[in-house]
Amino acid sequence: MTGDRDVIIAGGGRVGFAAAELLADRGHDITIIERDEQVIESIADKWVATLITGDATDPALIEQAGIESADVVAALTGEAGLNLAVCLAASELSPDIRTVARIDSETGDSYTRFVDGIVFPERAGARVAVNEISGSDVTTLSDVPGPLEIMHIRVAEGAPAAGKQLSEVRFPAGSVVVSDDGGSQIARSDTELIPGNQYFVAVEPNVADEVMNLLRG
Amino acid sequence: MRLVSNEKRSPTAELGLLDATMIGMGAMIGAGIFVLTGLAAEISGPAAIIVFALNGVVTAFTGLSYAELAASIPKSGGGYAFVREIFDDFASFIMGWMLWFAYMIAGALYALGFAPNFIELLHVYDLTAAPGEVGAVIIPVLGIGVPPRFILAFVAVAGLVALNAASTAASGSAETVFTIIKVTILVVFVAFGFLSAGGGSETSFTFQNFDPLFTGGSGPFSILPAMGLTFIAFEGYDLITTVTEEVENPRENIPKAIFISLAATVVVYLLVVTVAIGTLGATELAAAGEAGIAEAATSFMPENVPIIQNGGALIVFGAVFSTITALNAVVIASSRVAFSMGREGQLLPSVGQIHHRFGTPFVAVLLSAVVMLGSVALPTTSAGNMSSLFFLLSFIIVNVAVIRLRRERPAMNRPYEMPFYPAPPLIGIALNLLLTGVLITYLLRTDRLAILLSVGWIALGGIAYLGLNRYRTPSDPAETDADGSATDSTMTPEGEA
Amino acid sequence: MSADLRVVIVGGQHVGYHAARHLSERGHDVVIIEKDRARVEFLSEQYDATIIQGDGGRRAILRQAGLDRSDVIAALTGYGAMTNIGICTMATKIDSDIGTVARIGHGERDEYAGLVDQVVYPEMLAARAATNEIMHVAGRGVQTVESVTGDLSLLELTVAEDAPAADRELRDVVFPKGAVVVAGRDNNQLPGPDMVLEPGYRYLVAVKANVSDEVVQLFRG
Repeated sequence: MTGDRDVIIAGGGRVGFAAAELLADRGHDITIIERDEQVIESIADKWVATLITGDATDPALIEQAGIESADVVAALTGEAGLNLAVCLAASELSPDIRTVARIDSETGDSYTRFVDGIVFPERAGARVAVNEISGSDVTTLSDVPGPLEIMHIRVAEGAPAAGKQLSEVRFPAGSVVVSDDGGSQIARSDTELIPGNQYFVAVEPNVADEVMNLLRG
Repeated sequence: MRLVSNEKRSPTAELGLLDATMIGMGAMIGAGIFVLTGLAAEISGPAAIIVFALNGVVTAFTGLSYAELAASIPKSGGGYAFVREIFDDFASFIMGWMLWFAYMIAGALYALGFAPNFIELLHVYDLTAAPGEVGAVIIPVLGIGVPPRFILAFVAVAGLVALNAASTAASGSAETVFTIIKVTILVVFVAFGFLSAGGGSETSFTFQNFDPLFTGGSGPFSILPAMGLTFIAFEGYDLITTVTEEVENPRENIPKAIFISLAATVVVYLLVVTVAIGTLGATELAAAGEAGIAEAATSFMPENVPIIQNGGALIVFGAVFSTITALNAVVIASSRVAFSMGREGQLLPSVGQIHHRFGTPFVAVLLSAVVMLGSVALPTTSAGNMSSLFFLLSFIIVNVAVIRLRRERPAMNRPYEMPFYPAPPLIGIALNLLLTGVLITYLLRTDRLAILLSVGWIALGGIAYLGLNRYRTPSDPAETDADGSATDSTMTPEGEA
Repeated sequence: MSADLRVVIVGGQHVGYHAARHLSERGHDVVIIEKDRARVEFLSEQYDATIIQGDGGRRAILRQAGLDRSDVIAALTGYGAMTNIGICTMATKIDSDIGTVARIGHGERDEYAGLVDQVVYPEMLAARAATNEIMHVAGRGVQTVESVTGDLSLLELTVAEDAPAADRELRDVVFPKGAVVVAGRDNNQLPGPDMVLEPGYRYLVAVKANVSDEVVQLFRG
């Protein structure tokens, strides 16, 4: 599938606007609906998107944004309830449109029944903060969806699992070493965990500490 | 594509209020009640009942401190973790060092309590002679006679250590079942004990056994050393705070679990001690020592019960079961303290690592095992004395930690705040100091060995601390380097889109 | 030195709280400083960190977090870069060894990068997550999530209905050397030999640049 997409973004705040910029950079057509005049003012100069001032739940406004020809509507305001309302209204007006809602907690599963995609921005933001805090030896891939953590971990000298083959190490349930150094090889049972090398590990959050203990000491 | 699918270990389950309470009660009701009752009666006669009541009161003040700390500091290290939070390196090291020892010696105590009760259980079914009459087992090669109770205690410790070193199976939920079994057995004991009242036989329950309450020349003051010795009976809430991170809704459930387990334990102790003294009498109870409760039970429980034949066997089984589960709990607890110290860099780093194959704090468990196995050679009272002494000292530090945290971190969020602060920690400190003083004076008179070993352990701690500092110093530049590279690295995740 | 980091986080709103949770899950010790009473209540219910209630911009409050024992302070408040940089600067005055991370806003990276050890701009990441999600629902099927090291990058691939790998178990799919599925089914499932590549779901694949075409072909047809 190729071609540019027509995307309506409800909410031109920090997340909404930055997403608009990224999408515009990739050549997609963006329309932003934003309620706050001041915000409109500040983003108008950037020339990244068509701007519409007003309430994104208002059907008239959504129609103005060109809902019939749009491929996706992404409600990225700071209020989850409002975002859901925007998506529902949009689907009502144009049944084929795909919807994305920003949610504000990890109880987002209940929303997936009503929208096609959910965004949980704090998770990505928090992951990058964690990366900066814990240094370069352990990196969590920051903008993957879903609850699994994909970590890129450097095996520390003297850690319990250092120098061991994967078959010798019992990782806790909910974790898997998926690739060896640099991701060039699929991890096998005889893959050796060489100190100083980095490995991809998929981890459920509740066992992250055990995995860290094994690989980092 | 082939992926690695090793045999996996399952993560720990969530513990509810009941589980958390039972972890505390399991440790407190476990061995203490079977092992210590006879010893307390030996020192203070029928007043043993006051000994346990007062100890419950004394320890409640420290319980308040634990509740406040555990609710605000989300770490699973028990008392050591709290002290580490506010004290400098040396003070927190000594705290961990003492608490670690207290648990290890408690392990020895429970193993020593397990042995005679186990022999008694065999004796009930006429498989061996009575505990006091079993001869020494001769080790063939060395030709030395070793008391069987020592061998049994040694085997019990070694077995549980092996279990805990090789698997993480022992979990909180199993503990709940164990504790309910123990308490049920004790309820049966208490019920039959009271029912025997007025039966006219020599061991029927009678309040005459409590008259006079205070025996011997020492009078009411004899209860103080007994309190010191049996203080260990109520240390269980430290165990609750070693698992806080697995407890659901911890900031409410941990304080509740501490209070409920403490209150319930005191009630159980008082009932059991009342029945034991009321039936057997303080003198005979004292003579039976570690198997006191078991002996009391065999005297009044009905005989000719189906399957188990002798009703008393149920209680003896309870004693065996309790001591072995309590031993298991302190094997875990002591290794957790050592593990936390290893993670904090206060013991060798390998102590703070989990084993790559077993997933257990292997080195921490083995280190604890060495001291425990050595300590089963001690007389039971020495083990009890030392363990109590070190718990007393640790609890004093925990109370000081509450006060320091309140003064230095007034803005710290405290989901549970103890009432009438600063009275409870101050009273706690005063009472614990008093008991420590009494215990030390008493030990100087009666148990020099315990004093000697205690001082020796603290001195060893001082040496270990200095040695570790020396060990760490040369590697310091390397560590700073690692830090530097971590913070100087130029990761620019958002620059790559 | 301790094996686990001790981290002080100033600001317990979304970014600060989730960072604290991730760190605590990895076994690190976390202290959060948060001003808002109601938020403090929420944070303490989560039981991930010790909470100090107060203004992290005040020296007396910062001191209570125990900076001398901490490895890193991360100022993640939503009050703007100046506030966060200021907090970090004050922290280094109290304990010069502490590592500093400050949350900044749009376009401020160059301005502030030298003043603290690291800067983070969480909204950018959120925007990228949103962008990926939008492209996923728009049916694009292939997203570069992150370039990890050198020529290795992470692709997020939606399995197409009639793709060669669709409805196959991982063990039955011959991947080129240099490609690894790291997570499956919208990142909800750990990879294993019997994981089925279901059409319509996204799978995370680490790939070397030279084989990415081949991998895309397997997933997209």
